[in-house]
Amino acid sequence: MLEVSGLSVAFKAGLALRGAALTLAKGERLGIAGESGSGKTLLGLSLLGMAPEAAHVTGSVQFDGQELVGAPETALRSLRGQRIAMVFQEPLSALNPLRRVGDLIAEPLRLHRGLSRAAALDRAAALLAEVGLPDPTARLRQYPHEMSGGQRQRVTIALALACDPDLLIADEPTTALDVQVAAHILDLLRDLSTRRRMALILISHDLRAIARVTDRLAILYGGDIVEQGPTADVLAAPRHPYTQGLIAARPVLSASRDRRQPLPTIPGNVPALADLPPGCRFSGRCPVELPHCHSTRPTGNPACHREAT
Amino acid sequence: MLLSIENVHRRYALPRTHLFRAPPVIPAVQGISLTLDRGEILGIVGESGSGKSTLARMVMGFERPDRGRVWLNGQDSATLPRAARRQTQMVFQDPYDSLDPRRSIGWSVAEPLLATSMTTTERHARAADRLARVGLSPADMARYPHEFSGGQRQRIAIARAIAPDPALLVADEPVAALDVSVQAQVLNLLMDLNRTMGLAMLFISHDLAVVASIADRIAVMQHGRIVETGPTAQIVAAPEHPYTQALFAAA
Repeated sequence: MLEVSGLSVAFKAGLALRGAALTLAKGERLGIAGESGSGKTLLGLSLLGMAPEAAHVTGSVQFDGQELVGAPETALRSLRGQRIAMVFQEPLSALNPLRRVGDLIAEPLRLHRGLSRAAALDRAAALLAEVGLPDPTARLRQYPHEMSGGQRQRVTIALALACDPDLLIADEPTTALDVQVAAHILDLLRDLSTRRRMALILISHDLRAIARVTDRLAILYGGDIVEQGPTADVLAAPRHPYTQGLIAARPVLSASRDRRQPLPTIPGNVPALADLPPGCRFSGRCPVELPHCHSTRPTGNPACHREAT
Repeated sequence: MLLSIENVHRRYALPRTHLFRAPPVIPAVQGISLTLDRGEILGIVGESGSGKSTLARMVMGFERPDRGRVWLNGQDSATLPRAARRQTQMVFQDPYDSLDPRRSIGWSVAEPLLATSMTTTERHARAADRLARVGLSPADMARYPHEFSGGQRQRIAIARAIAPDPALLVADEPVAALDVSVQAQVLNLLMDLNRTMGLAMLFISHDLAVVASIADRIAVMQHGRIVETGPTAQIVAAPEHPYTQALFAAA
């Protein structure tokens, strides 16, 4: 359904995304993991033709056979919200504070589906029930500020579902939420994807969140997809040195941890865009680096020169 | 005993909703007692709204408890002279907000020493030493916050906090805004300072795994109360309270 190939995004300072390739089948759940500056949000935005104006996007994004890179704004606009929907990190800024929740969700239904106000509000109540908000009819008359963070995020999900999209892109949907609430929202996203046979792309820095929801996983570092595969396999047996370091650096609950031992870390910091090495983006921080890693870009999956030897 | 918190309460009044009715009140902290020894790391876990930051603010003396006392080194923190307040320093969640963007790193790190009897040369030397201790170079003193990444800024904030040689560091979500690979670096740094300087810590986080990786003891907070407390190994191996178990299930 979605086929991304050679997708690059260039800024003045350098390439923030370098030839990304991904595929996604109907109803499939893909996780995109990376730290800040890895290009994961940019990748999500580029899929919708929403990359910043300063960015130069090349390559191909095919959605149901339709090319989205360079497509006219009108074509993109009719896809967005209808066939591809997006949920962001901060629900409060995604919801108009001056409008009641019912009207917010009814708006796309009236615009895109031509429903009457009453029919749209009925549908909105059904959507609120579907995302697990109790007493949905009463909720229609509430304003976003009257709800908790978790409830608001459920509202943005209901809003995203309004026109029955085939693909939902969720960018850090639970980062602003407490651990327990986040777990509920993640379970909701997974269940909705199963029930509706809706494809899901979950973009997150949190491998725990991605493990909870997705079937496949792509790891992004410095604008490169360094490794992808079935989520359980990548997490259990990571092959790229960056993925290995990332998984080792996660704090884990263990009763036997000796506090005198330091936690494993990845040395150094993510370099600024202009300072990224031309070859493997991870060179300079990699514990098993080869001499040509800095200058020659590795290919394959995982994208690592060690794999080739 | 370095820190002793005795049955503290703190309530906040919300804005009035009716002209003739008393404003609604949020009980943020409802009777908390805790102790912390020199050189110990006590972890506080709880979700947003559990009262953990209010507790931190009372320990720092930013706020007075409505009831109960906070004792620092056997002195009531409500009547503590300013010089003695320097004994407790704080590190915040967002390293982008906690440093003055118009001041050099060297100035920011030395600022807590301005009210002391130290000379300019001594302050400068102390700032250079503290930057070295957090893994930065004394040559960075002339640089400005925007030249550093989030993890480096948090190191600078820590250098500033340890500049006046505090006995207690209150760290409120110090790694929550950092990337995973950087989180572990900062946690290692805090553990290192705990060992080498004997720095005691009140380490506050919503993330049980993060707290368990650094703390000697853990207190779990919910709705302004402590629902479970004990040595880290014990809490991790056999959490007793249903809320603690729920946090484990979500982690």
